[in-house]
Amino acid sequence: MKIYIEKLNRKTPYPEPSEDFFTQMQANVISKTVGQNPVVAMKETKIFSLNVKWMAAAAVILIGGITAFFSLNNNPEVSMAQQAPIVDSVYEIEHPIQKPSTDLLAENVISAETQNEISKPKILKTNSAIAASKSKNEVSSDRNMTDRQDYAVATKNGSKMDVEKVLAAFTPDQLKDIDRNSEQDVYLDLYN
Amino acid sequence: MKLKDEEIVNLFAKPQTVEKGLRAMMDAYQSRLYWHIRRLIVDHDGAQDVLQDTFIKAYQNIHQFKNDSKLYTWLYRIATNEALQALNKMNRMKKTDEDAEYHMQNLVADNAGQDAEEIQVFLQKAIQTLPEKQKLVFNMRYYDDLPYEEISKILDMSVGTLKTNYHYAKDKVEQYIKDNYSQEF
Repeated sequence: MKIYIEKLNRKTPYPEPSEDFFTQMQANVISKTVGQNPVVAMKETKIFSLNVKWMAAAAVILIGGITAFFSLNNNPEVSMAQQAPIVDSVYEIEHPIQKPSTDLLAENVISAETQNEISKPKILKTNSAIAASKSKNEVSSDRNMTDRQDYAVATKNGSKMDVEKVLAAFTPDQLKDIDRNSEQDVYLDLYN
Repeated sequence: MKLKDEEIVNLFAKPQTVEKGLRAMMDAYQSRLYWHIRRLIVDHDGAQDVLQDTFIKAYQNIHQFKNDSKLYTWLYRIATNEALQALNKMNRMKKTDEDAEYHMQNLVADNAGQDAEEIQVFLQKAIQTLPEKQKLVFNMRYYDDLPYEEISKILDMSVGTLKTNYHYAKDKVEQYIKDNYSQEF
């Protein structure tokens, strides 16, 4: 006899799984998937809306800032003004020799007899300190000089005056010694 | 509340809602997929393992799912592949030289419920005699009542081929029952 399966009740002969079967199955799947990579609550970052006007303004400011920065750095006048002047610093070193030399002389006169070597570094110290203070005061006036040669002449004249003062401070015996040495120098120069 | 396929897939987009999405997907399709797998594997424990693997694979590859097909079609495809792999593995691990067809028929008898109709058991035994493709087509069409178009997407076969396969499968099953089932109904 022919059996038409289309007419049969479409049931499977297997029993239904237990009630907690799918619950257990879901737990297993979760533990093997999401459970292994627990979701970390991430702090949402604030999202700024990009306004075209603000973006354009920011770009202009940025470009302007960058160009200004580089142009300032490349301008030789500005860079010279910002730098510590190398030439002026030479003069600044010479300057302190002029004025403080008078003070130095006074101290040298006092210490000439004793010839104490310990006092020398002290004098040098005071000399440099005075030089520093003087140079600071005179930097502005020096920079105003347009011609550096004039400045050099002026310093030369000043140094002559100082030399005279130094000579005046020496005792006759010391002057004689110096004179003797200078004669020897000439003598030696003749045979050179 | 039952979510639509699109809503379920969207839940996978955010890490915070992935678990919710996975649970929604299992709630929606676990029963249908279980029975689809069970009819192929027969053994309950084996079906459970395959079902779990199906959802794990779905979770791992959800980013590959394209919304142009239905979610259950995609899940059926994964489940079918997993079930066939498990069957091949079972056949390879079989210690005895027992025929695979005979082994599956015994498995049907062992797993059938006490209150199961005899004709249903015979029907299942008959299905186990079918070639793999015919078995798949027959199960999906006869038990799951899937349209040929959907089966075509799941099995990558043309509708015409599927119809032919189903026709041959039905004839074989009816013939098997006629030969082995003596009781009239």
